[in-house]
Amino acid sequence: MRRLPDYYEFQSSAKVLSGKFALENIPQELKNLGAERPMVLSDGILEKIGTLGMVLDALGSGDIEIGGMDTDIPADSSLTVVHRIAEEFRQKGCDSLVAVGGGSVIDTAKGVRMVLSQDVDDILDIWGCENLTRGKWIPFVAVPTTSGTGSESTLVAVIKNEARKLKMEFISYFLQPDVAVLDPRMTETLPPKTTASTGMDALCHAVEAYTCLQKNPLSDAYATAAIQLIGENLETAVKNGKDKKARMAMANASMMAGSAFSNSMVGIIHAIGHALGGVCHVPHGDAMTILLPHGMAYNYRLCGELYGELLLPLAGEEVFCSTPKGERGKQAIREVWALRRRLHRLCGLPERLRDCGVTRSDFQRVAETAINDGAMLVNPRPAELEDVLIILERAY
Amino acid sequence: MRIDISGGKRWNNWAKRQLAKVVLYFLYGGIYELYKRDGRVRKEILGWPDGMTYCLSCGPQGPRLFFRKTGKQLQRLNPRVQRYYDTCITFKSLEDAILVLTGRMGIAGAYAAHAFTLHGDIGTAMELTRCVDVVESYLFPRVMTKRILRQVARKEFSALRLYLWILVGMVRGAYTESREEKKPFRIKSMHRKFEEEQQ
Repeated sequence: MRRLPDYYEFQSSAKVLSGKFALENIPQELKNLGAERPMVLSDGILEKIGTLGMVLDALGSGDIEIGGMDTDIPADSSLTVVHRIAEEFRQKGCDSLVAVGGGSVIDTAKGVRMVLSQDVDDILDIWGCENLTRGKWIPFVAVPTTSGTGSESTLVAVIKNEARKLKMEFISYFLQPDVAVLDPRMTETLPPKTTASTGMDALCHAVEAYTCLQKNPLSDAYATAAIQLIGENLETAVKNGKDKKARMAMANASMMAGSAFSNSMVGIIHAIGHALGGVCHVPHGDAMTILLPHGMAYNYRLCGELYGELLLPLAGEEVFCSTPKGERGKQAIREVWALRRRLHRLCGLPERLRDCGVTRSDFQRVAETAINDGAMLVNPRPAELEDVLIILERAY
Repeated sequence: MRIDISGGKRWNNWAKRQLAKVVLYFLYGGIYELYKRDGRVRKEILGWPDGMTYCLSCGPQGPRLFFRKTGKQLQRLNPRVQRYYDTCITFKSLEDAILVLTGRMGIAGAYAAHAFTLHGDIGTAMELTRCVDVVESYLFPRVMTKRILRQVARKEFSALRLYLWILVGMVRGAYTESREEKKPFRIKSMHRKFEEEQQ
């Protein structure tokens, strides 16, 4: 029987535009939000391959005048970049933000929006968790170009502090974009390996959202729907990037998984993944791919039954029905192993930490960083330094 | 229009504030004494930089505990004077704070229930959380800690001894608040404000 938490909160406030010609509806959404001079944020690669051009064409066709554009956003959003863009926004008299890109572009836009709406000079003044008030309203449209981070629907922004060499996590309901635009044209040029890696990231979001301490009936609904879409479409999207149905399914899965984990948080897999990213520069999706089955195995003692429930959306009804109830949790973990193996064969997705340049000498620093990650607090099974070291050794 | 709250609620709030003050005092006493005697808390606090300042606030208007690592010592700061901190956990309401302070909800559970907001680095909040989990394992009976903590810390000595040390600490005045405002460690903008106001 499903047990309701004694208390929970849930918010997923972004209006979702999903499907064909979604981009062409951005101008009307901006007008609805009262925005007249948006600032467009993106990165150099998207500008070069023409993905950004499609968004600009859509904006231009809708008679939207752009107040400013910045395409110099690096792979890791940073404090310097956030402050620079916020200053540019003010100088050029922009009134809204349109972010076109992956997690780093959208997180940068969230950072800029925070600085502007809270009217602070330094984002460090507002560093924290659920500590912001709404402040000045800056309309914000997110157009994701990957299907993994779910940043278009999350209340989290991760911004790198270069001076202190750490990734700062901001959590606030006011970070959620007003509009999330999922258009199949935005992800169709994504290479197979990136598709697989970001898809596994989305799967990881959904699995952790379903098992973490903040889970609730609404986040469960989003998580299971996301897992079903990933189970049915990830391999197709990797095999054939032009398959619009699979691409849209993955974009929706990513957005839903983002919404789920935003309200239920992620656990030990992300805590170690963040640390691997910070210490060894392992790409986030690759870290999630490698750690997911190990993290599930670590939590199995407390989450076996929940994993058993995930077998149905993950592997389908035939596998679910033919697996005895007591075995379903283990079978779900086996399905994740098998999916990872198939993706490795399809596109060379890494399966071990050693494939990503991690060495055993990094383990201690990774473990020390991981146990201070906020995600550890909501992992169902507490973990100490030694536990993280064991997981790292197994994933090596 | 100002709302006149009922007498019952006013009395209830007053009682909860007094209770929170007492528990915060004992919580600090627990952290202070375990820093000297429990390996896990000592290791954790030794890792904090000099000047690291924490604030634990029982609701926006409720009682607050400020403490700072000064050299190798812990120092309790006066909440009426101290304004700046590196990391502050603020319970959203006095009721949420009381649930945690009376051992009916753990810190992890409170986070899951969105019971507090955090200003500052979540990593440093994790360090404090681990200390508080150990202190709660001593201060509260096992029947409570088993319910609220994900893992009850093994006691290196009996809870009774800890209570005795806290009582001795009270008598010795080890938990007396500092009179003047102290500078926090990390947040540069806070330093700037602190320094501007000192001039």
